[in-house]
Amino acid sequence: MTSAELITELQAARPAADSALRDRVRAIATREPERRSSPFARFSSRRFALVALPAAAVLAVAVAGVAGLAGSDRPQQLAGPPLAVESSTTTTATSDAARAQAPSAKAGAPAAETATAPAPAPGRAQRYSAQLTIAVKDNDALSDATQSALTTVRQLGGYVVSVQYATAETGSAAMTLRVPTAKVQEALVRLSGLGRIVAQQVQIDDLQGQVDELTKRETVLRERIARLSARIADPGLDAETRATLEARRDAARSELSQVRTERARVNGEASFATVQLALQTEEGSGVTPVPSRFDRALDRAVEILAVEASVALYALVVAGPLVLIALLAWAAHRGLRRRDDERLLSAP
Amino acid sequence: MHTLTLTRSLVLEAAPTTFAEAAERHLDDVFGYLLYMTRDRTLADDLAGATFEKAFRHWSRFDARRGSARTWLIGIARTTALDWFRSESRRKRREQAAAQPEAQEADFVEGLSPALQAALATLSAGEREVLALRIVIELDGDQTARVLGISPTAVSTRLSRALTKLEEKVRNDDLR
Repeated sequence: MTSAELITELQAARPAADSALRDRVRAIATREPERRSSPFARFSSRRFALVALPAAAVLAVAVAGVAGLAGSDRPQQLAGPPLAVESSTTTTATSDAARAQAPSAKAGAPAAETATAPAPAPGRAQRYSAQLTIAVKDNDALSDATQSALTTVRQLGGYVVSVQYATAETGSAAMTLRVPTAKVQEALVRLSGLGRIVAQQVQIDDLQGQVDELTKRETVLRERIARLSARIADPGLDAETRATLEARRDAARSELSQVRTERARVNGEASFATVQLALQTEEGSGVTPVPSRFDRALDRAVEILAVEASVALYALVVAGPLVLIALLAWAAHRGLRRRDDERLLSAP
Repeated sequence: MHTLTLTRSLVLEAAPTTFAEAAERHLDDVFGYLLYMTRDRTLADDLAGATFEKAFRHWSRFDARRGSARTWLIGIARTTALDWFRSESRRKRREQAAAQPEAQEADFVEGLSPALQAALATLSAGEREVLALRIVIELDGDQTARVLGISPTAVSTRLSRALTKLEEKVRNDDLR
């Protein structure tokens, strides 16, 4: 008998279920079919994973996007150097008068287009120091701004103590300027117009107490010298006393000279304010442009995505070994079962 | 290599819309498969009933896009048969079987010659299984491979060996 004949015979004698079995199966089929317990019941785990994983990824991105958009309304807290809109103004006052000016200094803190620095108190000797950082567009603008700054200072009756100017791909200039204190506010306003204010700091130290002290000392010395001169003019003085009084008068005169010099120095210091002006091109200013709402939303979304990714990674790290063990156990069980099936099927 | 001529239409069956329709259409295939596996009509009958019970419970999971209802039912029948073999094997080990193999029907398929019946009895369950799937039920190579969990090439090899063995057994029986 050939294979073809065997096949023909096997196919000709195809078994058929008897009527009892057929009735039994029909009875099963006529029962009320079970409803699907859940819409996911027909999905295999592989199909479920194929749908669930991309869905989870889309959901994560959507959450990040929505949260990013929602969070972009809030102003961003930025660390680092003060921005143009947040220029810092610090006033250090050492007297009542200076303290009285502090509120006005703070009021002028948010520098925008021009500096609104606190004004020196008229009639009081004060050491006025200001530091101003201005960003300009490029090197050409830097050159123009430097020239303008020097001109402004001279026009206001001030002078330039030092200038440092350097340009490469980016440029910067640093100037120490002395401006009559009475005109320092005007100077700061004009200098701040050279570009965009990046930072501003003003320090006021009151010197009036020092001036008053020196004035009082001068008066005392002058009176002492006058008294000593009157006694020395007395013809009845003996030679030894005269010599002693003359030595004391000379000492008083010397001290008076020192006091006058010191008072002149303090007055000079008070009459001119020192302005440290730094100019820098935008590229070299280290200034981060104020991000747009879209940028903020994007940044926020990326932050949230990063958090989601780290959570997912953490979960993977924690659950990964367990999942791996489960997979290995499942594979081993399946392999053993397959071998068992083969063994069972190898028997006649 | 044997040339297998399938007489039954292998045109893709239209997917049954109800379990009753699928059961009616494929009951003989399931029964025939189980009969070849077990060589016991009563047992095949019981296992076929169990198969359709199980299939009825899981009918909602059947997806015609993933395979025909026949392949799906045969897959369930195979699992049912293997579970029975496994439990039977455990039972025999427990009872140690007293070295008395249980008698199985000599003519388990009606209409076959005694020589072919005897030759089939000498084949392993796995060999009879591939004959049942490919020749009796007439699943194609891919469907058989899916049911057995092996490649279509392995199915061809297994079928060829089974037919060769069957041919030799029948020839030897004829010579006696």
